[in-house]
Amino acid sequence: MDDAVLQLCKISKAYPGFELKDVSFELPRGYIMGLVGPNGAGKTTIIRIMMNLARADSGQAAIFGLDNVAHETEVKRRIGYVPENHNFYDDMTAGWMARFVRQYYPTWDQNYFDALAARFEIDLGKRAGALSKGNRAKLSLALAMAHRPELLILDEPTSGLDPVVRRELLGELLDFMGDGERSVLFSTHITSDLDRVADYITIIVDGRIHDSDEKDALLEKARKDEPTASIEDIVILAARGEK
Amino acid sequence: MDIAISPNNPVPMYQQIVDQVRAQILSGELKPGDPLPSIRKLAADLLASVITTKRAYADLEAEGLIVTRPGLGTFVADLSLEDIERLKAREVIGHLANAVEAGRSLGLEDSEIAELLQNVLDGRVNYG
Amino acid sequence: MTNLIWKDLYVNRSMIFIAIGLFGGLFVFGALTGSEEIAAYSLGIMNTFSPMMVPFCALNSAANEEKNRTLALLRSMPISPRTIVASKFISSLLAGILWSVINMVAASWGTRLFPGAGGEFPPSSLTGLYMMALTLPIAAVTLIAFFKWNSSAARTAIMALWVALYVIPTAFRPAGMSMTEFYLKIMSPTPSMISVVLVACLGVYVVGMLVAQAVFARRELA
Repeated sequence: MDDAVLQLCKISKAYPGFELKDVSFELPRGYIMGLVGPNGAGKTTIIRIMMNLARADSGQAAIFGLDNVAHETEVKRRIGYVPENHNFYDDMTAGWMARFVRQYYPTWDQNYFDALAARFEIDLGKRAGALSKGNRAKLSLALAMAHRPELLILDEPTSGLDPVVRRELLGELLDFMGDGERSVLFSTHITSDLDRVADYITIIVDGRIHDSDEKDALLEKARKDEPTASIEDIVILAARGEK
Repeated sequence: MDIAISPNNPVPMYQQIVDQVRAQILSGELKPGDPLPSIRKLAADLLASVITTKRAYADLEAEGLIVTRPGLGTFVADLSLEDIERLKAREVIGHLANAVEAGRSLGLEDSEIAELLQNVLDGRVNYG
Repeated sequence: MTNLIWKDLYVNRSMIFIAIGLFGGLFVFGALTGSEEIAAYSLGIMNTFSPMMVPFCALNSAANEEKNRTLALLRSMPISPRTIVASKFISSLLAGILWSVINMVAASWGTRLFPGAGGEFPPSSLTGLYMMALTLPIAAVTLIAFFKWNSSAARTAIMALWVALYVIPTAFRPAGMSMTEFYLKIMSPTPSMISVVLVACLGVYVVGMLVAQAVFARRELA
């Protein structure tokens, strides 16, 4: 694929008790991909390898066509990353976090951040450590989006959030995509998020890619046997198949 | 545009969009020349994926119901009143054809099917 | 990097301000009131504080990072691991230099005011700097331990090395010299010896930074 923002090629990594084997998939520019699988399937590991927080034993990962290790800093300038555990300098205010983070992103748009903070109802004067879980998630997202990254990588962004906040977040993601220049990869085990907004879905089970395709295509295939099949059903079947 | 779609519906989401847009055009809710939201805007409004809305618009355009003018956007096609009547007719014919098919496959004679149709028209039948 | 250095200094602000405010203030009070005891006493404390500044700033900034789990945050941003490491080394050193300068200013002021002042450890204006320099290798090892493992390892390193700093020199005591004499000799080095110590310790510190950078670049964060 020519215009793929993300290309993983045979990524493998062995941990004691778990192994990621030959993970390959691509995300074309301008779309949303959901990375799904049971807990422990390897979603977070894959994301950590993309962000070079962990190093693959073999295989390559290219982001924006650049090797993610060799061009780590340049690539990260164009990525917005929201990890599963939102870590801030808890003694500092949310506003301070923004002032800290923006130093490192030349494309930072303070107006956009302020608008997001207002829309998310984050009190910028409040200590980051005192924010509720939902607000921490929103602050993380705002900090990641404010520099208008070409690729947004979210690791379980909606886990632990109530359904209202989850819907808001998904809406924000779609707005963020805007003109088709931006792409989103998000990993989740809450498949109902993906039934609606995902363009592509990559299913990972036990450290291996089970399938990676357009969501509509996966649903069509599954619905030949079961007319109301959802992504969740597909994942469950995949998980059973691998066992 | 007042559309509601659900991922739990066995009908694929793009098809739900196509069906609802078509219905609105035929009923006059959407008039010829009315602007439609862009593919991405529609996806954001419906919380659906872009590929889905893209496909829905492609299907609608193939049916001649909408047109995309480069640089200007997507609009309801300039259908004349005859066009709309013809499309409505086609829609109804489709349903009638399904009914005929159903009747025949159950072993009914054409005359029996016609009689049943008349009953429905006269309101003498309870669907249950 | 300035951002990171500033943040680490901010984390250590209480220690820095209290040290300057309290001990420096005490000295100024003594100097202004002409009290030799207070001045000498406070200078003594300032000298005792000198070997604490750099390692403690290092450990504190490390512990703060760990408490907030922000190493992962920093690593996910477009900041090279080398920069993250360097900023901790530099900010700790800056705190130490700041403290040394204040210490030296106080000490030379004190020596001018009270030329005969003595006590067991005569305040040489360079003693503070000397003490600070000696602890640079300790701070370096502390940071290496943090970047390789975590802040608990760093804490263990600091404790162990600090004890060593005070105990190991005794092994070099020449026979026939009393402990007091020996310590006096160590604590009042000649200016040339101080220069040697400064350069050597700074060198070790820089090498330590390079080691920490190499170690951190390879590390997988949880």
